[in-house]
Amino acid sequence: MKNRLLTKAITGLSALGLLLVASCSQGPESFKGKTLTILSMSDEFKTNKVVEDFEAATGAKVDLQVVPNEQYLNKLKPLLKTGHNVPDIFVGEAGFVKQVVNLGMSEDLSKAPYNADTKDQYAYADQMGRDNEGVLRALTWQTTPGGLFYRRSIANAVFGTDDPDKIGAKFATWDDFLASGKVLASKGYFLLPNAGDLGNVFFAQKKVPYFDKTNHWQLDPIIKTFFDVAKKVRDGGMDAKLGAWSAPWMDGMNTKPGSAKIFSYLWPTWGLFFVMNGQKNSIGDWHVTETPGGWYWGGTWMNIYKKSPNKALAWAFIKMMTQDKDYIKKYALRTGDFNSDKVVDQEIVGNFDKGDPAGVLGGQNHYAFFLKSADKIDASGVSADDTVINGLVSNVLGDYLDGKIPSVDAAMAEITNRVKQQFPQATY
Amino acid sequence: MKKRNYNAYGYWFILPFFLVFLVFTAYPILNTLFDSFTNDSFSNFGTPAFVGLKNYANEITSSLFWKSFFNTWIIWIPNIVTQMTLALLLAALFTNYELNIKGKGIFRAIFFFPNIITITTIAILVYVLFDWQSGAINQIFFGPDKKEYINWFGKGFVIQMIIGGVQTWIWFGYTAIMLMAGIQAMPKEMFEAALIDGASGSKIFFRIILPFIRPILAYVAVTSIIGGMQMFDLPWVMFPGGQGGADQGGITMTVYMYARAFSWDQNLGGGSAVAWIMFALIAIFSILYLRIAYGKRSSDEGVN
Repeated sequence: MKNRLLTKAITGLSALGLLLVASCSQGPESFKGKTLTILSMSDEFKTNKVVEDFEAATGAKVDLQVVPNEQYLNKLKPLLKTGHNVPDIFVGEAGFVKQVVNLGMSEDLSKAPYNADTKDQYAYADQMGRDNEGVLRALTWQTTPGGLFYRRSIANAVFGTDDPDKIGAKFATWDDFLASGKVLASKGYFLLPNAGDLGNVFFAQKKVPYFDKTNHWQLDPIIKTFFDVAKKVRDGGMDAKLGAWSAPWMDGMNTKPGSAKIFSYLWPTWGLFFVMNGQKNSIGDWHVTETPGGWYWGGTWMNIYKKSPNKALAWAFIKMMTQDKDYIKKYALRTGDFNSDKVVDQEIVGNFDKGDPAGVLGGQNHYAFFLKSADKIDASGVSADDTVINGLVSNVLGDYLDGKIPSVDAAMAEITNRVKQQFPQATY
Repeated sequence: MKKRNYNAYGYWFILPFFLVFLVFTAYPILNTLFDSFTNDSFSNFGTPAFVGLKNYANEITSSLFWKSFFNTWIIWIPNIVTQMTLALLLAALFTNYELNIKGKGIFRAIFFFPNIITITTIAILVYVLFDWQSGAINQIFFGPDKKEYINWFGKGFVIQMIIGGVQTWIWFGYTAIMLMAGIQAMPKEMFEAALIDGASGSKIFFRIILPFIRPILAYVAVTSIIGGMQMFDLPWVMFPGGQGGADQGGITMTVYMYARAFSWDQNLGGGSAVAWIMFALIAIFSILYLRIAYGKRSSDEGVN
């Protein structure tokens, strides 16, 4: 009898002891040997050495799977539906993030054990990661405000200055924008490579989403302004009519100062890092200034799969990129990438007084510019079907610019008409 | 004397095919049929509910569906006419008894070559060649004067002609080879007899060769109908997202089906309904064609 009691007591105490020891080792050691699967649209985590940093800090391995943007949802949704091979972290790009966070497959990041703190983030970065009920499902480490990237050589030749504030004053309103475009055209330069590129600005400035909470169609009047401005740009010979992302459109950025014909391109932060720094002939010939109104383009929000066996590991990654201010600072200083954490951004803005790391902006502090314009972003018009309907609107714009649709009101009617065909279940 | 019956083994040998067929062809087809009667959606993971014929009704009354239907035909008809003419001409030329062209094998390979290139490559090529401001086509026709350049992709009709033209380019070689094979299977005595009787080249072609290769013409036409009505890859790569470019001219029926299911309102039930409507349409047109083509033949044989 006594022996049995003793055995039980010893067993019980040792079990308790083991539990205590196990729960104490919360550090990186507990992730050793584990693999974190991330499904993303870009390999920037690898190229920006984030994977390297994470693997070193935790001892875990990262399996980064990349799928092109256009196929991302087609790849992700069947995985989520079958529950097979689902990545621990999946993402949503701005154009469809509202779809991803509303699938009911992401963890609530504001609750324990995550307790994500977004009070230092830009309002829109926080808002985009929330589902229709306002629950925080995804976080981003980036903020992607946009700007007018213009050629200093052309600015000097036409306007006599390349100072971003002075040039910005010439593009402060859409009327100013068009007036400056006329001046450029009269001197034989193009304001933009394509009038349709303005879409990225206007789509981000919508105040209402395409479908409201009752699935009723609403077309923000700013789209009408978009069509008006784009038509004036096209009819005034201010655009070079180059197909977006086509080879000649890309080449328009890569011409040497002196032989450049296109004054400006509209890009967000990642345009600077992923596109412009590859245009070797024009490095240093660019400055950036504001467009009428703030806007954003793209951005990636990270979700934790609700049924992932590696939630703690996934959170460790997301925490490192969005909550760990020391890492965010280190990452930003290394890459020049603009962050979603306002406090860190304001701390380090002075570090970029010599300009962006690749020298594209010829010494202009890109961080200071993005800091100013990020505050102006209002993403209340974002909707789950942005990618599809923005594409639809751009297509109608093409027909309108070609003169096939007689008036801007007819163009708005055509947009509604096509949306009716493609979304017959909504109300109009 | 017991004779071993080997018949049963036959069933084992054909079993793998039927298993694969059931799993990868029959089951998905039936699943699509069931799905078309539900409100299955690609945008949420709820359990699909039965909605009866609502999807069919919606699609048949959709103006965009019928636009895609006509788009598909406008792309296909000029394609098949040009393709057949070109293929018949080449087949006649290369099997001509008198001309007896050497090096048929090399020519066959050259004609077939476009068929081997991946469609994505071709789409990019087309996109670059017909580019408004810098495409080679505009430069060849109009020289350096950019004001004269034509915006090829600015008109839905031109988009359709380009897609149809590319299809002709891809398939004319295959069709020509099929027809050449058919003509070469004809007994040589027929040609010799015709020549002795003094028949001219064109009479031989229209009175002897064409009637003889009618089955192959039917095969080529029907497979072309099926392939043409399923035209997807080229328009989708050129105009991703199912918006179809200018005048929505690049929206073919399959593009419509795919976009309905995975792109626009992500209505999987609707996409499934479109798939079955397309099946019905293709079947009707194939049967119609065969009736016209074979109908004549059986009446001819009746006379004989």
